[in-house]
Amino acid sequence: MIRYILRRVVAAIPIGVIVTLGVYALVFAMPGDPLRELAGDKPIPAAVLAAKRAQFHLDDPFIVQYLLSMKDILTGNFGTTFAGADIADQLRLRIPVTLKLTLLANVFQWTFGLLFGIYAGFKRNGWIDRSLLLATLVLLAVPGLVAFFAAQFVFGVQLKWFPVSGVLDGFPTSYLLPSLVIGLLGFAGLARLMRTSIVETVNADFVKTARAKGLGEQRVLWRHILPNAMLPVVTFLGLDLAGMFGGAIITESIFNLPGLGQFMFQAIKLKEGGVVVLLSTLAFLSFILINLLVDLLYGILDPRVRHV
Amino acid sequence: MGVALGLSLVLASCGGKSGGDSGSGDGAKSVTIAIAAEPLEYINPLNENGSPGIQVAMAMFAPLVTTDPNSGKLLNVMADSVTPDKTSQTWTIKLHPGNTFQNGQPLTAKDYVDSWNLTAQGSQAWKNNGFFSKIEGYEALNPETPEGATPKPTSVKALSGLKQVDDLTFTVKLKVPFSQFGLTLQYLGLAPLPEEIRKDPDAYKRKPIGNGPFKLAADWNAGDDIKLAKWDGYKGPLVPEASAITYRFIPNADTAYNEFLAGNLDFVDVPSTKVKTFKDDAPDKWVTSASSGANYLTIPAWDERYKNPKIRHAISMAIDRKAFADLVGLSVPAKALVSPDMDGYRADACKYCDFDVTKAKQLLAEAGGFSGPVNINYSTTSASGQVNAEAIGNMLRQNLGVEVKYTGKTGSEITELADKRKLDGLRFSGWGHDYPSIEDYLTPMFKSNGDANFAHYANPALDAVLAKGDAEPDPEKAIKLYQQAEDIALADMPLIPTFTKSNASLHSDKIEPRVSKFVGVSALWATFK
Amino acid sequence: MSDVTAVVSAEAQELGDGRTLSNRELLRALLRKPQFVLCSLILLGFFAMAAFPKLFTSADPRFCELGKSRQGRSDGHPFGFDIQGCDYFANVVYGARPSVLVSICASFGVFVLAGTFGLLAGYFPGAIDAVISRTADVLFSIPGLVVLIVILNSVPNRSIWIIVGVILLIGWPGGMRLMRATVFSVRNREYVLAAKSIGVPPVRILRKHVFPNAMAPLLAMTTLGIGGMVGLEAALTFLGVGLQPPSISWGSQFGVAASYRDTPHLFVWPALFISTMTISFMIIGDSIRDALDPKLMR
Repeated sequence: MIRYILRRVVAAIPIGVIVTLGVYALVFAMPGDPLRELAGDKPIPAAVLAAKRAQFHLDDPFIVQYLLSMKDILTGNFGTTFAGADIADQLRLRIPVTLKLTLLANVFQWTFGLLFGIYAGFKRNGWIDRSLLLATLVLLAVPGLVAFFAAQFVFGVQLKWFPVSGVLDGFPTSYLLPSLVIGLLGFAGLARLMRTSIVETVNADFVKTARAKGLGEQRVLWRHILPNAMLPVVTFLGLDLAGMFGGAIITESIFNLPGLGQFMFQAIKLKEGGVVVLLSTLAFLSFILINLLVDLLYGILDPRVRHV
Repeated sequence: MGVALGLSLVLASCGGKSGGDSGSGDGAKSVTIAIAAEPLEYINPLNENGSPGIQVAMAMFAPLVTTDPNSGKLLNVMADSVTPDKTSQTWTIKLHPGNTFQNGQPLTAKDYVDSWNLTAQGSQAWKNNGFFSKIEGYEALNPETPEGATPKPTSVKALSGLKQVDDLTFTVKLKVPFSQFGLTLQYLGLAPLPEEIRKDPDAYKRKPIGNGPFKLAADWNAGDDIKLAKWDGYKGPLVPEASAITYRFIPNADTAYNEFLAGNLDFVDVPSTKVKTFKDDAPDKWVTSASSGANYLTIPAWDERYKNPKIRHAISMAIDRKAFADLVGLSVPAKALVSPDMDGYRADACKYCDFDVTKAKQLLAEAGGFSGPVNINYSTTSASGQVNAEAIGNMLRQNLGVEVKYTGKTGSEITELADKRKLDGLRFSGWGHDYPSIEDYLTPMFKSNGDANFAHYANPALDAVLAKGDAEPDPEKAIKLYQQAEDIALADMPLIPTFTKSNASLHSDKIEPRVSKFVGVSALWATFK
Repeated sequence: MSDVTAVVSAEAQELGDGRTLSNRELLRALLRKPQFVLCSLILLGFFAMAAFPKLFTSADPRFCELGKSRQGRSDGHPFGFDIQGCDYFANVVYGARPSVLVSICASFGVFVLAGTFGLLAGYFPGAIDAVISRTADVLFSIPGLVVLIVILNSVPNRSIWIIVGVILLIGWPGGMRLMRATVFSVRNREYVLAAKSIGVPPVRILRKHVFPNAMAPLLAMTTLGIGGMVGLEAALTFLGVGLQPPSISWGSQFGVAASYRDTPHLFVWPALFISTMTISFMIIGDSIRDALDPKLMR
């Protein structure tokens, strides 16, 4: 088990190098002078620009800038953004925001998705199944942008059920509305996947065999159907969690949640290669971690999977 | 200090007894103001030239002089007098006695001289460094650095033109005579920092010590709202009525607007996308300012195809300014290069700014037509950039019969390309003055190598008239000279005036923002109902 | 991950009987479903609109009078006017082309790329699988939207082909994984082994036996995702990296209109068209999958 985890971690290192180098190169190649965007409404004098350039190593060659950034990341010495924000401070503030949003959104998505998916899978072609399919179609057809703006306007501004934006009301109040919208949009795909998977498993030979052996319905459900039907869904989990980080850019912007997504978007706009790479590294690490967990979960769901 | 402390205790206990308001402290006179920007990382007026930072600094720092919101005349705040010599080259500034910083230290001429010297050092990389380029000795602190090179360190740490005379008096010697210098002193970016901050500015990024009417009410950490409380040591004029102010940062302007509608804010600026609806969304809760500033279409001076002034005039006359101003909202068509609220503004200064398709076509034909498509650049970072670009593009295409294409880029990339003279085609630009003088429109944008010479325009005749105006001590005569400069610029037309915008803001029932036709709308100086 | 999936797939072999439909059988099965016929007709309508917009409107979408900005419907202008004062019906009709092209090309491209790579990775474990899977890992671990924003900010001219290209780049790994897992479950089935043993060349095995039996989940995923592509185009406009004028597209109409909530007709119409097209695609995808997947017909 431990050797398996170690092997995975070692395999991740070259990928990490390629990812960070690639991201840094992309940002480096972006046109536009970062310090100019920073200048605000008025022009800033050449002497000031030159001093800032030197401070952030902007005149060094690409590879030197990359190595300096990586050194900072690895030594935990993050420094400040071009605008003067302490990056370690920002991470301390922003990571919890993104985590809370992602977790809550996933709770909604998985609760709805699994419940509806399992129910519809067992009662296939019943009226609940049909209306569920229709509902998921409608949800999948709504562009996310509309859903966020509409929800904010209707439930926040008009009905005042939820805070309009920001995190001042704390957890979970401030996060409920955005997570509900993410959860509802994401649940459609999940419910459909779950439903299909249940249908396939219920009709599988090993389930029939189990029934034929005279096992009780409960036992068949919990020991045979659910674990097997969950397998493709668990793969989906890994992909989905990794995607949430990127998707949060729009949600965080509309709901004014000071999370990592907004930080990333700002950093890209300002061409702050160091920050973008730092955040990409975080995303990469969480991706590796989540997938490792997913694979370990596989082992629990399916005893035949052995990690050695 | 003892008195001040006792007073706030009394007020606090009053608030506690009535218990009516949910706000903290003496909540009845507290306001929450939205700032549609990323949270500030520091408060330091000398290193701040964007409006969010200046807006916050304005509550905590006081300028030397300011514009009286009622009369529009210059009003002394920290200064007792600002007097030029005969040539307007050396200026003597006397401070009002008895002012202190919020740490109790008296405010002296030394604080100004040292704070300004610190900012004038290029190596400090503070944003208001450029202001001091007018003062003698600036080059010694900011040696010329070739593009891409690391700046050379210099041992010079002080401007030779700045001299402390006594505790409350200092003199400023300019490189050349400049009659408007007194007006420029109202820029808040010249506020003084106390000695302890000057010694280690980084340590005080989040612990500003000002000399203005408000001070930090609580520790201000990254990501927090900025909470300010009244500072009773402020002795200057124009004391705001509010006793507590909270600045809340909401980067998405539409979201800030929604927050206001949900009743969570006392004051918010109306974003450009809402100018058509705010009166219905918040009836009786809105104010608008007089139109101020100026917006332009910028013609690239480096592109030969646009060289002929007739082409520029044709473009100008093909634009239906009325319809365009309506599209932008809260705007009026502009036919001058300076803002309408300036002394010396002439509403019909421009001879080629009327919408006249026939004349425009004729001018274009006289100039021999235009080859290739007209490219219109717009900033993707602004909400209305694309919409405005399309509107101008449609008018040029339909009225002049030229081909039009569009390029959306980030604002900084457009500026950078323009600075390198590589930008293809037209772009939008705008300017708001730092001090109320038409000179602050003409010098930055039209003087050769001006700070904000968007078009890279240069005309020695205009430079000469501007220099004459700068050296003219009589304000009336100076304005006449500046108007001549405006006429030259309008004939050459490096910038095509488009519209002047006023700003709309929403306010809660609790407050009535101060509205001045001279200095606009302010929530800081709101009165309470 | 490969060892895990291998075990999972080994068990998945027991599922299904490997019966496949011929194309004619498939078509007949589909045509029996009224919802399939209806949605196909709707889509044909959209395709016609994309290909020959002049059939649907005689108005010039680029003739604009700023004075009519955001006016409601009037005679000859059933959808009213847009922000620029152009006829909105004509704009929505002309907007079909980029939106249809982006969604179809990107989805089809992702299907082909993901299908091919998934097929190869699943059928040839070892070096080929390693190269493909590790590349996918790299792309996976960078948030897709970040790549989109950075690349679209860098290119000098954002055309639909560049947007399609970037979507392809970040879109294929997800489908590839799904395909690869399905291929694992198919590759050891009797009919594949039988074909192998009589010396059928690998390409033919992949094409004739493995692909048809393993494509259903990927196809379902692709059709479900088509709507998202048009939505993504709108999101790009919101983030400032969408198609630029004079291109007319539903996504950018929608992205611009999202800021002008007070004139609902500006976003209702493109939203209606986007949603109708999306739902049609998904119903068709559902029908195809149901028809292809014998397990669901039992």
